[in-house]
Amino acid sequence: MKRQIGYLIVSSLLVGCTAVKQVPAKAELPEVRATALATSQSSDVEKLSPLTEIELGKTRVGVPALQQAKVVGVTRMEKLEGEGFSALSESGSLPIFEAFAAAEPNPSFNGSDFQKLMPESEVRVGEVFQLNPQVFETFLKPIHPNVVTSLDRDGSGAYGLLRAFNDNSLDFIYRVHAQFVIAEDVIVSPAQFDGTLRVNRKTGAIESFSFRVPTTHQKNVNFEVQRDDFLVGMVFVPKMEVTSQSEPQELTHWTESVEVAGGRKALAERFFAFESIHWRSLPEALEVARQQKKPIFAIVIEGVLNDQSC
Amino acid sequence: MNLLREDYVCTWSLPGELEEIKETSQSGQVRSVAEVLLSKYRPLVEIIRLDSRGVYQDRLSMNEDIINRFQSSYEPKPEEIAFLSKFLTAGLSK
Repeated sequence: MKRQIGYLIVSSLLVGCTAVKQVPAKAELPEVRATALATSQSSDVEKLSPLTEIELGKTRVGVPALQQAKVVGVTRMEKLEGEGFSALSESGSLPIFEAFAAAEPNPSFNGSDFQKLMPESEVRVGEVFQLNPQVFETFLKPIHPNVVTSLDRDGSGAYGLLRAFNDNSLDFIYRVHAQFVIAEDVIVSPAQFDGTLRVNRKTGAIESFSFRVPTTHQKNVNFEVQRDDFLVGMVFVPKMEVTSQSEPQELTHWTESVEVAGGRKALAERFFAFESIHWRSLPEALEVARQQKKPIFAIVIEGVLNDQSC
Repeated sequence: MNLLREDYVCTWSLPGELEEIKETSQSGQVRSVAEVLLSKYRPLVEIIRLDSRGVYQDRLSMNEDIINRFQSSYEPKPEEIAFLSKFLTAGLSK
């Protein structure tokens, strides 16, 4: 029975994701160009379907060779929590999750690790580029060494975007989907990892970075126990992140920039075509519907619609 | 999807988030609509149509009404898209 429920959750939410999947007409939206995969597997420049409505920058910006110096980070992780664990009460699997803690509190990386997060050619602000998800595994292993970016479900992928630049700095954001196999047949799937990276244009130094699971929703982690019975649930982790030792300096003077929210939406659209719909909070939807005299399409869903926690 | 983008105002919520809205929103209308959405929700996924004033019109449960039509988790067939489109189009004529 639980196996059936587990598959039902996955299939019904995937149906929810695909039922309205349709790439909008090209005339509606500006073209977004993606650079080559940052991997030896392919050096072809890949064009992605135009989806995003954010305004691209005017300037094509080159990427510096990054310093090869060691960069030490910090891993922070709190316990998974939530009623979703009730599914495990009789299975004996709960201790596996209770033992899930940061594997490496102070990991170190080098410039070549970060270089793999760079686009292979010049990019404009707001331009999405595709990356090989595997390059992110280096940065997520401090959470758990058994990290995989080839998911056991739909949704594998990694994308980056140049969010802003000025004479001194380049500011990138990323989104990658990953899972942790924390024991045999036990998989933890965070909603997503939101990434940031600030590099010094002149010296190639890494100024700051972060890869963290957002805590926007009440559930941000899916788990599966694929043992005698198939147990699945959705829970919450208050903190799961790998970051630089210091936060990025607040910079307000950018030569060109896009808002973080707009950039994040552009990245989300690469994973879910339905993200090109303007989803609003319930209060906002009610207000806009009244003003525009349009009906409301509301989804109430057990797991988050637009990430991997469902 | 164009139908949703252009002719509808779209929103989605977790049941727990609706509970919170129901308890804490300062707007009586928002609290009331959150309560309606919760009352119409059947796990695991419910699609609900409201009119422009937030009055309940119709619903489709992903489990009972739709799941049998969408047997696979891959790209839906034209007739399945047509089924959903019919539901959405119906909401525009009211």
